[in-house]
Amino acid sequence: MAPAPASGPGLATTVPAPRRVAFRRPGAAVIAGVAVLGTLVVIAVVAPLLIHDYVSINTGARLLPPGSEHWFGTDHLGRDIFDRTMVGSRNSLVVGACVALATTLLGVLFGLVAGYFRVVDSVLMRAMDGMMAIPGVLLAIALVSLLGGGLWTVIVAITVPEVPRTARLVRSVVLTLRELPFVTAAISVGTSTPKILLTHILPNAVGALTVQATYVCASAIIAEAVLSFLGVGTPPDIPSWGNVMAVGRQYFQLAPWIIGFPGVLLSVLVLAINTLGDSLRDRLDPHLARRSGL
Amino acid sequence: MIGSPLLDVANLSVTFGSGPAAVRAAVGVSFTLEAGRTLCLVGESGSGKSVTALAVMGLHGKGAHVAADRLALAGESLTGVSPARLAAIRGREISMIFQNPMSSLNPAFTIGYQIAEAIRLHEAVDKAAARRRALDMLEHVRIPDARRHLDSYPHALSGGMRQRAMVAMALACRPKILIADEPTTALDVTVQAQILDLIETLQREFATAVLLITHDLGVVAEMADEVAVMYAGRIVEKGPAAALFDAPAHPYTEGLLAAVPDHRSARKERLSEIPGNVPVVNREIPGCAFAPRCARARPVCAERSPRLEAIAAGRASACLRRAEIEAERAGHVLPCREDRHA
Amino acid sequence: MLKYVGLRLVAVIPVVAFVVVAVFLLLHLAPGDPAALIAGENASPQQVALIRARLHLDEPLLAQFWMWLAHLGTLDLGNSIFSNQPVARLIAQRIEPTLMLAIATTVLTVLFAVPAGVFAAWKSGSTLDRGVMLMSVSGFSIPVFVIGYALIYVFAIQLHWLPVQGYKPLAGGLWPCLRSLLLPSIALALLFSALVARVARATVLEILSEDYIRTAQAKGARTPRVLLLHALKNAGVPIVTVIGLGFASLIGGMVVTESVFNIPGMGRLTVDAIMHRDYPVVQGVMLTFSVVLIVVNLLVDLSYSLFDPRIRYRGK
Repeated sequence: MAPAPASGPGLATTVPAPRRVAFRRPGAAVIAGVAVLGTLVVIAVVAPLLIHDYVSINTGARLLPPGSEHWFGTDHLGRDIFDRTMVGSRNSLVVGACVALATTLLGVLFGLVAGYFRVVDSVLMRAMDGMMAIPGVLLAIALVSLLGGGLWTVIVAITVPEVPRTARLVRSVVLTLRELPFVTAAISVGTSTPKILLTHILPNAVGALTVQATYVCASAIIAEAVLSFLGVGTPPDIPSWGNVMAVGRQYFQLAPWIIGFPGVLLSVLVLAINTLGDSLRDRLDPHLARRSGL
Repeated sequence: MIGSPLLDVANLSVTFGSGPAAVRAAVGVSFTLEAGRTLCLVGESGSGKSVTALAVMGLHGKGAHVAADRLALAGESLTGVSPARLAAIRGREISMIFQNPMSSLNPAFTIGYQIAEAIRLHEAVDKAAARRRALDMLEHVRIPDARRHLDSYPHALSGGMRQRAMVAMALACRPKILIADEPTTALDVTVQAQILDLIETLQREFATAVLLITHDLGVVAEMADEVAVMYAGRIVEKGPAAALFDAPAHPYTEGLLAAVPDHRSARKERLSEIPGNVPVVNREIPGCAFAPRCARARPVCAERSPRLEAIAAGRASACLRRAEIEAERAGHVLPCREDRHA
Repeated sequence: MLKYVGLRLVAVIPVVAFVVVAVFLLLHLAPGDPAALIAGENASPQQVALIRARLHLDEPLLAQFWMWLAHLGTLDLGNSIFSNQPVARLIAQRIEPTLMLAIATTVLTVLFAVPAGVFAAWKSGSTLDRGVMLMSVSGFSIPVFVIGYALIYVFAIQLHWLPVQGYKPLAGGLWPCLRSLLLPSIALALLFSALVARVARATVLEILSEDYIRTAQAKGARTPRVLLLHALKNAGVPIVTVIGLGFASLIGGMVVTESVFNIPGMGRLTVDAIMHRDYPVVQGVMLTFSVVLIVVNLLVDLSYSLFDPRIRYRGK
């Protein structure tokens, strides 16, 4: 017989148990995550308003190392890396947020349909399996090159490979819930299917979806940088962290700072988002599976 | 054994956690076990009997703190011993079988491998010899078609067969002591008796001492030489089985016996006949822990803590009203729970 | 067991079919004339017509598909528009570095991430555990090319221990080859380990509370044996599963890493083909990578029976 040291009515009177996990005090990691994300959001909003001249070429200041004049150094055209990085933060955050939103909407749509309509399920899920069998980065670069460059193309190309995982998540929630008494009861009193899905089933998936959206946002920011780095991402005229770093490829041995500063900033941002996602998951749903990174 | 007993436990306590929330799962537990004998630790769920057994094996988890004046095997202290020495003792000197045979065998290895492993962990024998001994042990525990089941995985065996395999594994190195923690609780009634018979037979054959943990007085009646009754982490009564059954000296033991319609045969009754539950002890409470559930409780029982005191040859009880119980018994007034309502 | 293998093989068929159709349709899903898309913006009408004829783009879609499928049957993936070489030959020429990189990365990952996860679970809550988890979340957060350049900067540029870039073929000896792959495989292994270590830790943590772990201790097995034999064999299925699932990310990571380290593998072939709008090559490479991914996951499914004997009997 296992000892039950931390349970039983004997303890409840002496140690008041925390009533709801949501009231738990945020840890240092969460505070740091919020601080980083908040700062970068402010930068993304403010920087493009303050910094106007991030494109003009200054041949006299080519590949300068970081210093008091250029905090992050300059690139091969003498452009200031700090200015370009600050302005570029907007692109990363926009891509991350848009992909997370689009993935969630599409994933919910496919997941609800697949989970609730048996006929569609097998076809839709085989298609999702098939999509997951194509490596995401490859699919994204192929899509960008087909659809042509542009910010929206990049968002679409990153969204498409992310959808199956969210769809599967929603589907598994639907499959679990549809057998539960309260759903059966709703069906028996004649509630319409869309209403059951939206009012009884979807609210139960919100927690898991929020966590999943956080992870999708994080991996979308990385994916945008990867695509731009490979030269098939955000068009070169829009400063983005990926574009800044793509320039640094040829000059890496001479000017490692071109990749270094945006790289570190991007990693810190994604780390902050992932940390927030992890702590959100621990609070909402300890069993949610971690998705793979890019 | 001349001199020190085979297993000597004195003032053992096991505490989970620390500070005011600490749970005292076992307090001041003392008992001895002689070679070849059977000691039963009896009590309801949460009485501390399993925790005591795990502490003897050093298998209490990370969260538990164990302290004892003496915890010795054949004169060798088990407290503060190195992990290497402890591992050498486990399985060779003291073995243990558990309540749930369904989950106690590793699903990823064959029965034969798991028994042979127990042998090879302690003896320098080659694989083939260990396998032969494993087969021999499977035959010993009367698993039908032993040669085939040597290469079976646990999931292919029934609960009773798995517990037989556990017994084979535990006794493979002929340990001096077998600790059996509720070995039949999870099994079908028909299988329970077979497993108990098996343990008894092998105990005689191998001259093994058995520390049997159970909540089932039917099992105790069948197996025990000595009995120690535990309640809320403490031993409240101990003594030779026959004497204890004939004349229980603690109201809790009385209650346990009363809960079994005919303790010589019936085994299916849970000890739920005494109203209430075993309390979780997380601080020093004045008075007798059983008092709130005790039919014989008097105001004094809530104030003074009874101590385990010798009452006759080899017997001890921890009850403030022991003298009255004995007087009553002398007048042949049988204890009855309905007394309370009268 | 045979039934189990059969079931897994049958389950793979629709996935392969989807991939084949999807890769074929890729070119036709884009808005506009695929021939013009391939030819690029500055192409003359004659060039567009030539491409259209060579790729049979003027025929009905279904006819094109059957033609493509028939060629696939003979492992003919068509010819590159850019170099006019058979795509299958191009892939064959580029497969060695990619394969070596994949193997080196997987070996490094298993050697590092599995023990790290096991020890983190054993010492859960300790500094070591927190370190492993921090490393894991970092692996999810740092783009692989940033890790790659950081490694180049430290070990090649600053310390001069290893070559900056490039690949030495296996024909020139195993050691030079492995040496040239050391930095890229470490970069990829850090990414891959993030996933594997996390799953290994979670799985082992759960297993350590199982009754049979206590049984193993009770019969005198010491901690390393308990962790690495009794616990790890039971953790095999989830760990191998996540290695299979993570292989998709690994392939993506390899495409990027080959560019960073200038390795002439299939990843570089892909990127170059996309730059040149060389669609037969893009299709061939995507198909190859997808089939590899499917095969890896099939092998993962089949390997379950090594870890969990129950699967041999039940067929999942």
